[in-house]
Order: sequence, then structure tokens, then C-alpha cells
Amino acid sequence: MTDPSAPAKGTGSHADFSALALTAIDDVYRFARSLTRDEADAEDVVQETYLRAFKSWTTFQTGSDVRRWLFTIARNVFLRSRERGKREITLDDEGAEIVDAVQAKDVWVRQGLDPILDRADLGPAILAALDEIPDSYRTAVVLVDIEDQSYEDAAEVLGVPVGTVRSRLFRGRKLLQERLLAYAQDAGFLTSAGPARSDE
Amino acid sequence: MMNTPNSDRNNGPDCNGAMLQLFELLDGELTPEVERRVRSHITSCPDCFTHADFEKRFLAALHAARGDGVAPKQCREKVMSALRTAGFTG
Repeated sequence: MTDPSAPAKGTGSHADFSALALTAIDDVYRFARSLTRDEADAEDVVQETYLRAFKSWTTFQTGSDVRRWLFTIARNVFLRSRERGKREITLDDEGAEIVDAVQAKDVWVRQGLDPILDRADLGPAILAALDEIPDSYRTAVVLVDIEDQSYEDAAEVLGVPVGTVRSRLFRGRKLLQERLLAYAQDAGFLTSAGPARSDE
Repeated sequence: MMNTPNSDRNNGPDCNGAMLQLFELLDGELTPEVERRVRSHITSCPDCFTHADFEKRFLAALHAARGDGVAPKQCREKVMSALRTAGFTG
């Protein structure tokens, strides 16, 4: 007998797969890219993710978040391909010290660097900086800050408690700010008189 | 440095408390009541307001970077090819 309170399964139709799942390919690619830090490897993860998603499309619950479902598959594909599941899952940063956020902000503001954040051409620098921070922080930042997942959804995708997502986000964002600061200095966004103006 | 004594008279957070919850505020992860208290502190504290504005602009820049990370054409082609081999007809 069917449980009326159970979430509805998807129709399994190819048209629905095309409309719901395939339209999220950019999101899945970005997440895969953040996992692998390599474009070719990311493409492999995306391909395998969509194959698995297609094969289990009939189990997708109508009304649930298809992107969260795809992100979860992508992460599993990645972990299996690298045989890194054990290491990732046991990674524990719950006790990690909290970085002094105020001090980090002060460097930017005191040096008059914060207008750099408004530059239209900062995107590639941000993506490059993302590649430089530890995996666990990068995946949390990508899921929440770029893919708009809630803390709870990100925790589900990553298989960690919400508190771990919170602390990884905090540290990841601070590390990103440090990398961006170095990038701004190296890329000549700074002049002796302060931040260089964007040509936008 | 932050001014620490700015704790609000209505049991709101002080500067350190507000800054610890700043990201959750910007991420929409606080309960309405806690959000109200943290916002109240930030709008009345110049130091915290500057900090919050900085973090808000940082997160906006980070989110905007998604436009620079689209799946390459060959990635889409590989996916479609693999799916068709698996029976996808959509």
C-alpha cells in the first residue's frame, strides 16, 4: 500500500530530466570544478554525475531541490573517483580556531582596498583564489556563496553537521579575502595612490 | 579595533557578538528575532556598520563570480553524448 505522506517520486520522463536536471549543468560544473580544481577532471565528474542522475531519475522526488540532489551525486562521484571518501569524511574542523574577521577587514579598509570588491573584472581572480584554499572550505563557499544553497542544504550535500558548514564558510571566506588581497597587489589593482580604477 | 562596550540596552549583542553572527545575518540564516537584534546593533554602531558593509560587498563579488564559471561547450557535448548512449531521448 502506498504511504500518502511519502514524497512523490518523479515522473522519470526524459523531458523533465532535460528541463530540470540538464538546465543545472553550469551549477554542477562549477561545483565539480571546485571539487577537482581541474577542468578536465570536472568534466568527467559532470558526465558521470548526469549519467547516474539519469539512471536514477525515477527516484528523484518531485518538488525537492534538483540542484542539491545533483550536487550530492557529484560529490559522491568525486569521492569515489579519488578514493578520498574516508579522508574527507573524517576531516574535522569543528575545533578550528576562529580567525579574527575584524582584523582581516581592517587591512582592506585601512589600505583603501575595498573598492576593488566592486570591480566588474574581479570574477576570474575570485575563481583563481578559490582554487588556492583548502578543499573543505572551498566546497562550502561554492555551495553557499555561489550556488545559493542554505547551510542545511550544504551540510546535506557535504555530509557534515551544519555547524561544520558554518565554520568552514567563516574560515574559507577569510582565506579568500587574504588571497584576493595578494592578487590585488600582484595584479596592479593597487597604485601608490590607492586602488587603481576599473576600466569597466 | 572594535568598540566592545556597545552592547545594546535591549539585550542585543555587543560588537563581538554582532560580528560573530554577521555572516549568518548576511546569509539569511538567523531567526527573525536574532536578526532584528543584530541589525539593530549594526545600524547603530559605525565600526560594525563598516565591517558589515565590507562583508556584504565581498559576498556580492563572490556570488557575481558564478558568471565566470559556466560549463564549457565540450563538457555539455560529452554529457549529451553519454546520456544518449544510455538511452536519453530528450
